Amino acid sequence: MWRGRLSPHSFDPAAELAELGKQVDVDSGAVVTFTGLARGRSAAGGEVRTLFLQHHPRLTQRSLDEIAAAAFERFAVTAIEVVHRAGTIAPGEAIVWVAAAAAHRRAAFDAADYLMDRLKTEAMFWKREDGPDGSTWIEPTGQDHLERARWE
Amino acid sequence: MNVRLYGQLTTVLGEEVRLELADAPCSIGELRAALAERHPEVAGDILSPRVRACVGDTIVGEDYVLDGADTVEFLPPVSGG
Repeated sequence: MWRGRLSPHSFDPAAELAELGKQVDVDSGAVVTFTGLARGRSAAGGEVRTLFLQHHPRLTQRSLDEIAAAAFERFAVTAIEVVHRAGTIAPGEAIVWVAAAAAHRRAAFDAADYLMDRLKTEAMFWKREDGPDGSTWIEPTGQDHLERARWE
Repeated sequence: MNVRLYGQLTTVLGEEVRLELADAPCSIGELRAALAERHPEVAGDILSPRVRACVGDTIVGEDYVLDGADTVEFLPPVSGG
């Protein structure tokens, strides 16, 4: 079971986890989750008042599906879930939530790690930080690409 | 031709630009050159090989000929998470 969901509105990671808990089967002995939050400060140290995530009307959902399906295929997991925000996000709000359920913990940790490395560099979003000093479009860093390359 | 833009490319031109082309059909490479000529302020981005072209939800190369397509999208590098 895998699922990728594009959320135009705020979502609650705790509610997502509770929902997943109802669906995982009795063979699942491990659930790993990761929540990415919008920061109130840019990498350069400036104040960020909102984060804006532009998305493509079809290709963004397709990219979430492709990444979730690839994780499900690659690791010995029983469930993969990805929820990703689009639109305007306030500091402290969740941008992304991933979950991996598996019989044993290692596959669940690895799958969650893999999901995030691919989402950072391949999920079809364009990210802009808006603050009192102006707006800046953010691209993946060299470190993001290095971390993605670990899975080649 | 409708051109839809994303990310950094929207800063100057907005999300959609209408471009009347004298020579149709043209290739993606020629469309980029025409856009860069009419909007020199975004030439660096629009001509960058890091910005992919997309027609009908499929990434296409520079030689792709826009015969019958009415919309082209330009996609700068993406970043989720």
